[in-house]
Order: sequence, then structure tokens, then C-alpha cells
Amino acid sequence: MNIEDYIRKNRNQLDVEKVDEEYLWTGISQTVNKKVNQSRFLFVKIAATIIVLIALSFITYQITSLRSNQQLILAKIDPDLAKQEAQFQNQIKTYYQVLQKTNYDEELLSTSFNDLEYIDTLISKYSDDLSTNGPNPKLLNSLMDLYQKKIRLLDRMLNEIEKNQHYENDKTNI
Amino acid sequence: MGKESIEIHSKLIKTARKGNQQSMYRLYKLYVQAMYNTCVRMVSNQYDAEDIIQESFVKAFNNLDSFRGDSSFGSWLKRIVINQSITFIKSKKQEFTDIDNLQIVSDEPEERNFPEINPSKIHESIKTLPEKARVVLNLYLLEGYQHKEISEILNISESTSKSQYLRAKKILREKLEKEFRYEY
Repeated sequence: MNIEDYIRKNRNQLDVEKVDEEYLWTGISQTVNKKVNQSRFLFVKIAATIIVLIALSFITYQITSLRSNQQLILAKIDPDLAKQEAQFQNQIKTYYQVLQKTNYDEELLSTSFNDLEYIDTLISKYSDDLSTNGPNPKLLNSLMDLYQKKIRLLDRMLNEIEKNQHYENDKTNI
Repeated sequence: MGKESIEIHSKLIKTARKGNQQSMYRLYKLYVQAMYNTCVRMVSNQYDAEDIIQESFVKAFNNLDSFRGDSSFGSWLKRIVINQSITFIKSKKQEFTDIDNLQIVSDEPEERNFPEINPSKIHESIKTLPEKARVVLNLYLLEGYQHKEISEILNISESTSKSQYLRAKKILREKLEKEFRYEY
């Protein structure tokens, strides 16, 4: 018998070394455990992220559909009114952006933010009424009035802020 | 492997896939000694072999889903151990291509009788072979790989694999014969 055949014949008896099984297992089980826990944690993280994303998508959808519905209603009733409403909304948006840049002190303003919030509530209420009950000229006029009121309030706020800043500057110069 | 033992294996693998540590431990106990011996003959160092075995079992348990049962669990696991061992050897920057020009020497006469030697002596002698020759001998003679497969795994030519094998066999025979003369 040559060396190859001899070794092949005794192949199963070559595994003579004994390894410390428990020592090796400790390392293996710790690593596997860690990975199992990590993957479970990862699963929870993924699930949480998905839930948050779904919730955000739902909210965004609600807001967008509300707006587009409202514009759709106005567009059906009177395209000119719809156009005017869009202009008012843009103007309000611009005012808010300017307002945010001014570092205003709410305490010094005579115009209250509560008035703005109240107007928003009414706009929302009138929009719902329009959606539910259909076109109503009185309601439409009131809605447009509310937008204009809001714009006037914001305009007044910005003026006040500007005045206050001038006053502060004057004080500093003295 | 008997039908009963295959069924037990399947159950263990199934529960281990779900993260059952007890099943993993039982699979580990069934295979660790054989895997360790294969590995230590490849890398010829106890501590390296222990590290590789740990990594191999972790890899196997983390990838149990990819075991489809086309081969036995033992064969699948051994392939992982061998791959890990080769990766380790390669990471030591050992090139297997440096004896491409080595002339393939003809083998010793096949009819020559080989003396009865204790298998543990063979095991130890294999571990002392030069690295490249040792890896090829392990893969070809003990693990049943073909030279073509070895050439692909080690990124060498088939002729290099054959040369290394002949070289390994020659050195091993000399070592064992010396051992035999010393014993008797």
C-alpha cells in the first residue's frame, strides 16, 4: 500500500486532537447571541420607522387633500375666487416667513397671535361648511374677508415690530 | 448517515435557524472536533485554528438560512471551515504561485509499501509540512478536492497544485519513514 492509500484508509483516525469545546463555545454563543439581539433590535427599529413613515404620509395626505379639496370646491364655484384665495394664501405665507426672520418679542406686540389662530379656526370651519353644504355666496364672502383680515393683522404685526426695532436703535444711539 | 440521524439533524437545524441556542450547541458538539482537526492541519497552529473554528461556527449559525440541504450539514460546515482557513492563510500574504516553474518530479514507485504508522504521527507530520504544500495536500488527499478545484480556490494553476501535492507527499513520506525507523 502506498502512502496515499494508507492515509485515505486511515482518514477517520487522523482526527486525534481534542479541542476545549466549552471554551470555544463561550465565544461562539456570545457572538451569535449578540447578533440575534442586534437583528431583533434592528427589526424593532425598522418596524418603528415604518410606522412613523406611514403616520407622516397619512398626515401629509390629509393636509394636502384638504387643501386641494378646498381649492377644488372654490374652483368649481368660481375660478376667480379660487385664484384670489391662492394669492391670499401666498401672501400670508410670505408674511409668516418675514415674521420668523425678525426675532420679535411677543410681549411687546399689541396684536395677539390668538387673533390669528381664531381666524384660522374660522377659515377651517367655513371651508368645511362649503365642502358639506355647497356654494353659499355669504359664506364665500366671509371666507375672503377672513383672509384679508388675517393679512391686515400680519401687516400690522410687522409694522409694530419695525417700530419697536427703530425705538430700540434710537435708545442705543442716545 | 442514517435516516434517523438525518431527521435529528434537520430538527436541530430548523430550531437553530429560529435562534435556539440549545440546538446550536448540539450541532456544535457534533462537529467541532472533526472541524478543528481539519482546520489545525490546514493552518498548523492551535490558536489560529481555534479562532477560525469560532468564526466558522458563528458564520454558519448566522447563515443557516442559506443552507438548503443540497449536501449534508457536515459538508456545508466543512466548506465554511476550509474557506475561512484559506482566507486566513491568504491574509498572511502567502502567494501560492511561486513554484509555477517547479518541475513536476515523478512520484515515488506506487508499489512501494508504506509501513504501519500511528495516525496521530501522520496528523502531526502533516502539520509540519511547508504551508503551500500542506494546504494542497490537505485539500486533495484528506478533503477530496480535485486539482482543478484547488487551483480555482487558491488562484494557482493546476500544474502548481499538482507540483505542490507531489512535494508535500514526498516530504511527508520522508518524515514518516524517519519516524518509523526511529520507533522500530
